[in-house]
Amino acid sequence: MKILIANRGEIAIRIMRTCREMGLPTVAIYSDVDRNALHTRYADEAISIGPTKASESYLNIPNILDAAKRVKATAIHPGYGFLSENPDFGQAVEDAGIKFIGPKPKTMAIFGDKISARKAARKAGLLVLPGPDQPLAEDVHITELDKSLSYPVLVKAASGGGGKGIRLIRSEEELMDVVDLARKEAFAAFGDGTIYIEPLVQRARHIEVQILGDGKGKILTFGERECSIQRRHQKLIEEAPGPNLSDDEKNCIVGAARQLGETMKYRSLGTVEFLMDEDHQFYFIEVNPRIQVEHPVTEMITGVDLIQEQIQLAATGELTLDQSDITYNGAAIEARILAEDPDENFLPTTGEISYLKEPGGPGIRVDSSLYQGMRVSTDYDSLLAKVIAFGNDRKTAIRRLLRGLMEYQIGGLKTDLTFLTQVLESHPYQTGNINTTFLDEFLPEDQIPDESLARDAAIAAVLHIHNERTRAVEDNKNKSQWRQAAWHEQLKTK
Amino acid sequence: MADYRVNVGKRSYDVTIKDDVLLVNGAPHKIDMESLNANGLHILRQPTRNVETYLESNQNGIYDVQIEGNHLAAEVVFGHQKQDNKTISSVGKLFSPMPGIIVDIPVKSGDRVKKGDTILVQEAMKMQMKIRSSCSGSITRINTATGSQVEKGELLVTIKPDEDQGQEA
Repeated sequence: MKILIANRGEIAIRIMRTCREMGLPTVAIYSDVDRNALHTRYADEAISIGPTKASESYLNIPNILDAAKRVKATAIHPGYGFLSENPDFGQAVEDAGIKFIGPKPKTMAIFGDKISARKAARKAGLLVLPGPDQPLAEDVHITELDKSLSYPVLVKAASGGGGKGIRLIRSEEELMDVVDLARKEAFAAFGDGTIYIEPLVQRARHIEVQILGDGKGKILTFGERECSIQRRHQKLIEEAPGPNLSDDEKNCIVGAARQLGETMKYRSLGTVEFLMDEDHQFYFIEVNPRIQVEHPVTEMITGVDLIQEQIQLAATGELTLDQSDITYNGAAIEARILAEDPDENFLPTTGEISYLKEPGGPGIRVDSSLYQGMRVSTDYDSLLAKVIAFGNDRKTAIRRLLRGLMEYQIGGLKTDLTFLTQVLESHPYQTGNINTTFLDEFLPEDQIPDESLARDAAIAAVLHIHNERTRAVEDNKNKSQWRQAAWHEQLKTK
Repeated sequence: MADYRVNVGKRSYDVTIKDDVLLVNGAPHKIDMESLNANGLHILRQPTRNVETYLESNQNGIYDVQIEGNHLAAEVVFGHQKQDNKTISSVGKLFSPMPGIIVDIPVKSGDRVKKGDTILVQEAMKMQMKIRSSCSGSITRINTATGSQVEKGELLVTIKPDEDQGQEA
């Protein structure tokens, strides 16, 4: 099998690493701006697929298929984001006689539409958040739709997912304005203006379950992940196992995910996402039919390489593991390193990486796309790298992750590194007392560095200026000597 | 000799470098710094401690110092002198008009000078330029030395103007 990875950044490299271990040749694709990117160098072959604009490169199905045919790739891995959840892409790949390392296109179509996903989950017997399983019609009041709904509610894009295309409506007065805006946003982002309504679960936790299915009804589950530390519905810190959950609660949520997977005869890797309310009641929200950003925390506590199992399945059609092979050990936490400025409301940052030192040592995994000299632009996602820490228990994992983040040095670009440290050090996080509104209310404490560090920083800055000036003076002296010598030479010749 | 004031967060440090001695708030420190890659990475060497620092300067002359996982903003003020609000006016203060080298200082602290006297000679781009006194008075402080590299806008010399001609100068 020769695998083309239809993605970029850290996830492309992560997939190639497993391919290399399995002895499988890899092909990278790249847009103009990515021509020197790390993933193009890691792959055995790399091929240009178009201009920087994603719609003309990483989202361009004909170009990617053409590239796959040119290098004679026999399989395509879509990674996450870009075309990974696009059933047309999956279908086009299979129609071209190339293996698609992912779910069946018709499964992707069901889960790609969040309304049909809710229907499928309800049919499989899962508890789904109340609300109509139909698109929101024009000019309609929520109260007329469903008496069980009350404000605040969320309006979501049916073609959305991954936390994108979600808006909050707090009162009936806001309803029509927000609905209008949401419809336009959904159309702009996903080419589909269909929206639907879900109640907002206050102080909810986001818990999800990793599954792997053989497409014939056999489902393996790999336990749950806790992903409540989110900003604008984008996850920032994830962990496994879920803290402060009883065994019964874990069994209940994992069982629900298995039930859905079995009913759908789900193929490949997938994540079933749930919200847990304050009474620890779970509600299905959506399925991500692809590998997820936060998959490493599951790999750390199970010791299973999920990408390897996924490729193995695509190659043979059979799972190599049984449920009894999957055991859990310790705790793992992932922090996302983003090109975003926490001091400027998480606006994207750009720059050239002038210095880079990545963490290492016991229990630390770094999945990164960074290199010194890299120009970080706003063309794609702001995710630069992930640091994942493993510990025998949650407390150890937190300590280790903090140590890893301390070791991470990125020059030339502002990132969220300090902010991540502040969250991990906060009391609510340390005690596992978290929910999806945690970051809305989180105010990082003023950073008061050690007096000795502040003094060292002051000395370093002064010595830097002083050394620069001393050197400039020396240079000038040397220049004067040269000038004098030249003058003497001139006198001699006269 | 060079004097600096550095503001790090709410803390301030007066750093003086005289020959090979480094004074922080008047106390001597045995410390030197070596650039490792000419790209901002430095080792700050102390008798019992090696500290890795990564320095980046931004447009406003403020350094971002990465040190043990912390990002500290260090603002360096050149030629610092303790000033009270009474002397905040720029009368009697001579600033560097351009980046360059001070090649001559024909006066010393305590000298009486007249308006128009040459106080410093600066060289830049192979041109020498006289910096003249803007008032009559006495030299109270010289913040630079012959052979020093100075930046544009750096305070070089302070002159206490004679009482009778103060604001007119």
